[in-house]
Amino acid sequence: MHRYAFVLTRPLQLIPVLFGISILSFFLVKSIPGDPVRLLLGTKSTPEAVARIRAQYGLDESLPVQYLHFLENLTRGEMGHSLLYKMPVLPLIAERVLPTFLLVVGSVLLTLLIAVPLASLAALKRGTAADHAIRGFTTAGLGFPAFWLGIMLIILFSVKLGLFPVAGFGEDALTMLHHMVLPCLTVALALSAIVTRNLRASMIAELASDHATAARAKGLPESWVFRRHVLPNSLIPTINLLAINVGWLIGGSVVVETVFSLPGMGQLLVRAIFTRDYMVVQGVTLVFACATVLLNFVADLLTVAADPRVKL
Amino acid sequence: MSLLAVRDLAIAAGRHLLVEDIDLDLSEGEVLGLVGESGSGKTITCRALMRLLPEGQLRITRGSVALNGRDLVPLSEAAMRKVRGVEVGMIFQNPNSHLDPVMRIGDQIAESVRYHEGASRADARKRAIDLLRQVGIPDPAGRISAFPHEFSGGMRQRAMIAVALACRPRLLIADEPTTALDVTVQAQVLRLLLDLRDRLGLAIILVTHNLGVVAQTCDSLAVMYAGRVMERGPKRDLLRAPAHPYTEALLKCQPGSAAPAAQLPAIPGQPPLAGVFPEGCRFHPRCPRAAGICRERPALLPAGGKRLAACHFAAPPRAA
Ligand SMILES: Nc1ncnc2c1ncn2[C@@H]1O[C@H](COP(=O)(O)OP(=O)(O)OP(=O)(O)O)[C@@H](O)[C@H]1O
Ligand code: SF4
Ligand SMILES: [Mg+2]
Repeated sequence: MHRYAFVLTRPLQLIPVLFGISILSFFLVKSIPGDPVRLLLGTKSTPEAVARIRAQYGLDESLPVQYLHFLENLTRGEMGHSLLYKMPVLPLIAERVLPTFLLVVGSVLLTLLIAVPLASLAALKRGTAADHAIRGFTTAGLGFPAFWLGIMLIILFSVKLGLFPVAGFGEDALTMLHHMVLPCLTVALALSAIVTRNLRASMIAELASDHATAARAKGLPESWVFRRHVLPNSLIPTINLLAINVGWLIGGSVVVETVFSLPGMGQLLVRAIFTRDYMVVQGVTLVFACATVLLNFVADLLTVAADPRVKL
Repeated sequence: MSLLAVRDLAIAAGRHLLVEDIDLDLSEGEVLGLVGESGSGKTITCRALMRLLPEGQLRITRGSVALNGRDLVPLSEAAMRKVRGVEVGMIFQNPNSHLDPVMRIGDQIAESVRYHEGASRADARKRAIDLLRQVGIPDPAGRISAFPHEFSGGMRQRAMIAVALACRPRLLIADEPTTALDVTVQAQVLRLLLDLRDRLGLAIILVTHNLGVVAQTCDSLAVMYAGRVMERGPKRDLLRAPAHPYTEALLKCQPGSAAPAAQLPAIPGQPPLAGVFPEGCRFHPRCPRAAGICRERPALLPAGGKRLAACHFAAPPRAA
């Protein structure tokens, strides 16, 4: 079978996964304590008013029926109404996709931008002061929680140096980018610590590998051996490591969006949880779960592209 | 003048000498067999000829490696890079691990052509196809874009030979090139090496454990024991009438010396550990002919015909 055939077969295999996700997100939200209708109408509402709203949102039906309604609506792109924002959930989420998307993609790119040079330097200059300094950086990066780093970055770059905005998101591409720097850096610093460590270890193993020796026996200079043989081989486990961390990345984006008041899905989710905005919690959970599945799929694509031996 | 002349080569790990007094000679188109028990220093000797010893672990402490009359030992790294791959090619025991798993075979052949000769992509590609054809890979134009795992073991070894010959070196160092292959494929790869010798005038150093291979393929032979050359000279002389007791022991232990696939046999006793070699002749604890004088080191001296042996009792020239 063709190595990329999974691009066609994978979506079929994902159907049960997506069902599972929908069931989980539906019942998880249902199991949250507290009555959303009372929250919406206030404590002094009449029983009639409560019943009317319940009927309006279909909350008076049995759970399986509610789930079927939920599925049926999903197929039409209907995720219900937000009680808080008084608008449909889908456009509400759509408005918030861009900052989160930029945060995740930007963080991964920035992570590679930090980790690849640092790991290369550490592996090539093993045991030197540079290597020890980089080890110190990775140890620190693994030790500090992401939001603490974020606050430190805000204090340093925004409050003290005035280089980057403290919070929020821009209007046009340029100001957006400007606003994204610190949040991305916060995630990337944490993630690049673990990536640098792993990449350094696999580079050291590849530098001592038989095929690197064989490349040197061809009279190729060390820089060539590193670029053409050591680097491509040691990046393969890194893709895997990033794939494993997709869940962490999305969870981290929730925290970081909150710290930087980024109007993304993470921030929306947090606010919805605190206000028991059921439909929004459900919608964002669904989108996050699908994003996780999608990102893992992308990681598989990259793995297959990077390693000709892999068959999925 | 010989193509390669190694004199008095010594390799050390820290303060321990692993290999000493290595003398080897090789002329154009000659196949030199390098045999010896495991740990006798064959691999590190080969690596030293290419100046490819693991940095910080092993180093050449003495001696010279003259290639076409030019000593390689004092050369700079940059000068050495123009020797590796260009004047001397190297193939290894395990083609699985010595080929880059994520680079196409054609690119692995072409990259040294591109680096050393500044060849264009198209020219390097042509050379790669031509080399794959020369080493007997069917459909070479279709196979250059294959990855190593898509080749069989024998084809991988052929591909590695093509990689080593990419820049047309005059000397090929082959460190146990067939040990990892099954018997029928072994014979094919050896035939290929001899064929390349005949067509290209290639000189080959063939490291092997297999005296049958030596009998079939080599012109001359060097026998190593505990980091030293015990005896060397024309293959016929050494196999017919060994001058050194160690060579003799190797041959005698062969189950029916005609058996072509016989492995190096077990000689009573254990070879010494590297770095803690016995004083004098290193073979004396296991030598049936050992005498008092064997506590003094024997030098590698002419022992009849074109052969040299390091033994106090090396057979003197007989009839001749
Ligand atoms: N990097 C190293 N550091 C220290 N000692 C080494 C190193 N590499 C090899 N040696 C030692 O040098 C000696 C010779 O090793 P070498 O690999 O050359 O043997 P060999 O004759 O090729 O054996 P085999 O037939 O098993 O391949 C061995 O005793 C080995 O332990
Ligand atoms: S020198 Fe002595 S111990 Fe060494 S091989 Fe000759 S006879 Fe044996
Ligand atoms: Mg060896």
